[in-house]
Amino acid sequence: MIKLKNVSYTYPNGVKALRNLNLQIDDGEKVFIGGSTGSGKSTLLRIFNGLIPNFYGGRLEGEVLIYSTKDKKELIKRVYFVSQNVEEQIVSSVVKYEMAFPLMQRGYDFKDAIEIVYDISKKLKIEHLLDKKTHELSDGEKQMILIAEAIACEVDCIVLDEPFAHLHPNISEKILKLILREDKTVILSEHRVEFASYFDREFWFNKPNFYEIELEDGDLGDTVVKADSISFSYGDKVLFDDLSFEFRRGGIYAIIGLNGSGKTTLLKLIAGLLKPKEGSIETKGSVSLAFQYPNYHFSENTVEREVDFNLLKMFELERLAKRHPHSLSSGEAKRLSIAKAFSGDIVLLDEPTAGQDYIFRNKLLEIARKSGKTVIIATHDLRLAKACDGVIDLDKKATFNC
Amino acid sequence: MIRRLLLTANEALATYSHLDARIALISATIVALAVYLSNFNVLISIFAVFISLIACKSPQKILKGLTASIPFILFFSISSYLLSGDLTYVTKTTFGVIALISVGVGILYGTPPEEVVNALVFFKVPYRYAFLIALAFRMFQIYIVDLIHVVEALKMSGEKGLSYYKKLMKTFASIAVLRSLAISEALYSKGFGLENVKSYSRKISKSDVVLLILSSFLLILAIIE
Repeated sequence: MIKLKNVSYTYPNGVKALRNLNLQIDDGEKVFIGGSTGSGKSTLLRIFNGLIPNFYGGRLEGEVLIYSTKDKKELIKRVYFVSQNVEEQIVSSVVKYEMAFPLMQRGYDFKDAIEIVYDISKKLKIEHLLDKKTHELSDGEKQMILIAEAIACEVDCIVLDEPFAHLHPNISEKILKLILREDKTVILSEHRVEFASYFDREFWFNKPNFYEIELEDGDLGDTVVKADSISFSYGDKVLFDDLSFEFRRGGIYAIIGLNGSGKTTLLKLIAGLLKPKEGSIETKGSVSLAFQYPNYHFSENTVEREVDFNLLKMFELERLAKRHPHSLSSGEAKRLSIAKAFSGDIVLLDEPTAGQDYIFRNKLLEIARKSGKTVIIATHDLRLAKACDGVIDLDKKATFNC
Repeated sequence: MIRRLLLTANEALATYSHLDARIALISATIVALAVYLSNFNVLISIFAVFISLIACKSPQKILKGLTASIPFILFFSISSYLLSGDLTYVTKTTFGVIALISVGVGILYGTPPEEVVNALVFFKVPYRYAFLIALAFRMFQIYIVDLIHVVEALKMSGEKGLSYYKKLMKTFASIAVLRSLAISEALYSKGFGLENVKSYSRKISKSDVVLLILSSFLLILAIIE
């Protein structure tokens, strides 16, 4: 059983992340943890396997009872933690070694570990991935491997911190069903509230009142991005063939598709970072791009030097003005990189709502509309895409209002 | 250009052979020693490249490794010439460097880093130090991708001249620190160091034996020379 009573936590830099939190989770219970960006979900999850305070330091107060143990090793053995960024979770170069890694750390010899890996892979129908190199996998496959690792370790509790932030809803649902089938305690934090219904119980830091994403009507101007029969491929993998579309000034457009369907590549083609193999893309005005990993964009010492103060205000980041951009939480860094991208006439955003709450999604659309800029969003968020002026669906190879 | 070199290096590192890591380690050491002991004899160097080709069975991979190393090879050759002024010496040492890179790419990088870790544990190197090799390999892959993205982000922002390189270094260094922290967190969560990790033995194949014989032959040749 997991029991937290009047728990408060302060990070070593003085930021108070949790205040008087009470939570009890019974064995085998499936719990959904929700709340707005920066509400403390990730901090809470890191308490369960001892990352807080053993790895992060800081001051943890109150009564923390996790499987009646305070022993560091015992906690890791009983609780398995999977965090948001799949790239940073993989430590081996081949899938089977990756899956065997935590087992070998728990004292299994290689042969036994590999046997368990094969069994679990068969059960989860991922045995075709075992001999692949980890860097060749799609994000969805990587996430699947990490979850298979957690299941293989036979822990009592699996803790997942926004594991689906960068995954297509269909893949996320498939993985979620897989985990919930397990006879273990599962604790998951997520911004996609639609997943809450799969769980025995929901725990909210602050529950949003509305889930709808709305976009005001706007006047669209002349064409600022025109793609004419573009084709692009990576080696033998053809991503687009004869794709044409037009984006108009002031319009907000979405690019959707499964992981690996070419959303980021299309943004890079529009940005001019890549060139189409055939066809052409013309743009009018300056183009700026916010990558999925926000920190690629930060080269200054303070947030206020990265972005104009008005943009900071618009994105409600002014309180962070004096902070170092690389010290921000992933949600805050994401907002800052998006704010920075709004300096261009054509704004390209790669997964801007990943790890962001519903309030921000509406806020983003509102800012985009008010700015009068052309905003093109590559996203897995189908609700957000539905609200946009036009959509390119790379799976169906179809464009709607584009 | 930088982007292409980085991508080529990444591809070269990503293709694996099926050699036993213990044999690969021993052979690579023997071949490198032979090149050095022969005083960078051109014939020995060519033979070393030949052995690397046999070991990895992929001339393309070695070519990719060498392509990615062109700046280093050029730097080495020019500095050798400036220091010695002797073209014969420069040719010999350049061949030697090419041979050593081929050995590295063909024999060692052809082996999954996890197998190298296992081989080191077999040779009684403590696991926590041996694992650094696999970790370095993985981090290198992540860093290459990060570097490409930082270059692209700066290109989009229109930075030029000295300021471009300053910002590139600053951003990349900050991201490298963040990535290291995140990977450490992942290692902690996966239970790194909870128990002693044991090494395992693989069956020695015919190609392992051939590689070992060829490497030993080259060493004997280098000593006789």
